[in-house]
Amino acid sequence: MNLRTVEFQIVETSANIRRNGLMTAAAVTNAAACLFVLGAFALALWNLHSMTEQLSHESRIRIFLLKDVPFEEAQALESEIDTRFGNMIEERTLIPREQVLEEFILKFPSIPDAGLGEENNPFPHELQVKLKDPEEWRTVTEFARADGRVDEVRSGRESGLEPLLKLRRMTRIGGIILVTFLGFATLLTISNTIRLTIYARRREIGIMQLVGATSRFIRFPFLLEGVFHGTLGALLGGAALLGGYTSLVSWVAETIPAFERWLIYSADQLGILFGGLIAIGLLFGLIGSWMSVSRHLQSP
Amino acid sequence: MIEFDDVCLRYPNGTQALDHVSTTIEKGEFCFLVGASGMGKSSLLKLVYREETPSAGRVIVNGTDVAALPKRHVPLLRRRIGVVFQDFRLLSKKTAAENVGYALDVIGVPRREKHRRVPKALELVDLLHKADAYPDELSGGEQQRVSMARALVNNPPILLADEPTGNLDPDASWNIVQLLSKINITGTTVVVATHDRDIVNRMARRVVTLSEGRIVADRQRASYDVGEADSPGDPMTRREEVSP
Ligand SMILES: Nc1ncnc2c1ncn2[C@@H]1O[C@H](COP(=O)(O)OP(=O)(O)O)[C@@H](O)[C@H]1O
Ligand SMILES: [Mg+2]
Repeated sequence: MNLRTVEFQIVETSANIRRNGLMTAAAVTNAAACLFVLGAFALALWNLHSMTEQLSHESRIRIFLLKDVPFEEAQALESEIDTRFGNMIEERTLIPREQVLEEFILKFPSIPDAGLGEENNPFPHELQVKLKDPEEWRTVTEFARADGRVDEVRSGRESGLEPLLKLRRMTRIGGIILVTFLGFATLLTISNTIRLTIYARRREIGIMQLVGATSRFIRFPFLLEGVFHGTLGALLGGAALLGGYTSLVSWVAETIPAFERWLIYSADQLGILFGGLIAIGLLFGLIGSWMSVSRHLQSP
Repeated sequence: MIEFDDVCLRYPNGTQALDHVSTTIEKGEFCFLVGASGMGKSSLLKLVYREETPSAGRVIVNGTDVAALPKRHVPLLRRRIGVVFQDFRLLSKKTAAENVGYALDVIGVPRREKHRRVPKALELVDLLHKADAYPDELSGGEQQRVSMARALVNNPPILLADEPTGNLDPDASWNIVQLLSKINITGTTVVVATHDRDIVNRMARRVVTLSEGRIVADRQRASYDVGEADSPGDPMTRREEVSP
């Protein structure tokens, strides 16, 4: 294909895109919607993945002492644990009940203090232990539970995390199936639209074939058009997705600040998502139009 | 130039459109292909420009077995054959000149070459003055002339016309046929499929008659109907005659 041919193709394709304005708009909107949903699912899966990933590294064990245990006893327990498991421990902190209360009031200023104070403190002393290897949680937890001064022991691995990890395994498979399905739907949508444009221009195609245009030449503008639909759709769908998602993240950050750290929102990560969507849109536009044109050109 | 060698054509639905057809059209010849509707005229032409492939036999165009041609070479064959149809097949959103130029655009002819050839082709069909008119601003005869200019702009050695006068009044028809004759005189092989009795009789050229997919008559300087204005005893004018 020489320069003159390429120029002719681009001029013809852009004229066709403009001429079929409504159909182009429909195709692009369709692709945008499909890619938006595809991207949203991918993003949800990614978030879930990173969330569980972070949680599985969460190795903190929280030991709550009985309410009437004095601070000295708590310190004694801390050193007992230290002598026993010292080499396994990465970090440990003993938080006196006064500090726990203070942090609680700071964290939830909206809750009326209901006369909370030195005399009325519902919180016990708390010992937090972070292990070098989170898999060792069971030993420390069992030891602390057996101690008479301890009221309750909570470990990230024990509470809620196991079901969450199971959920992740399930959603990962389901998600892959769903995203594949959505991708396929996107592909078919684009392919179908191109089929309509081919149908709308079957006269021109017939004339081109009659006067000796090559299949490659005839195919090219449709591929260009499919790529245009897919890429523009991905741009719009991706922009809408990122816009919606960033406002969701900032809403979460305001409403449930503790939750924010679980979400994916760095520019790098969102850039990868956006780039991925564009690549998928372009590729699907190309494959989708190729499928349609080839099928049309097959018939003699 | 065009040779049919024991050609059969059966469509996928089972219709036997051509049944053991053999004939040769020489270089520079002008030949009518006549017969009632459905007798296989269009099918015979389609074999020449590889719109169809024979189910048996060979079609040789310019020394090449068209049926054996690899698919990617079909466009090259088509560039050597001009075809015009009853329905003109013009693009309504393009002017006469653009329609003609389109045939060059889609095979990548350089622009300068195109600007040289398009006016020449329009001149040939006597439509240079209507170069910027759109098809719906032209009469049927003029539209057919644009489509002929498009078929000829690439200087093909062969011109096929499938019922070129089917949509035209007698005057316009006569004009088109004379144009075909003029093109033939410059050396182009011309094959015209038609059931227009009037023009065939007025031209008195070679007439190949098809009936139910078979050649039933093939006469020189003949008229439409077999047995009329035709000299069956003269071996010089009798190419071949087959009883139906
Ligand atoms: N694409 C096709 N599929 C099936 N049958 C066809 C097709 N084209 C033509 N025919 C049949 O083949 C026979 C010859 O058709 P055609 O060559 O068009 O005749 P003509 O041009 O002489 O009118 C007819 O019976 C017609 O119905
Ligand atoms: Mg016909």
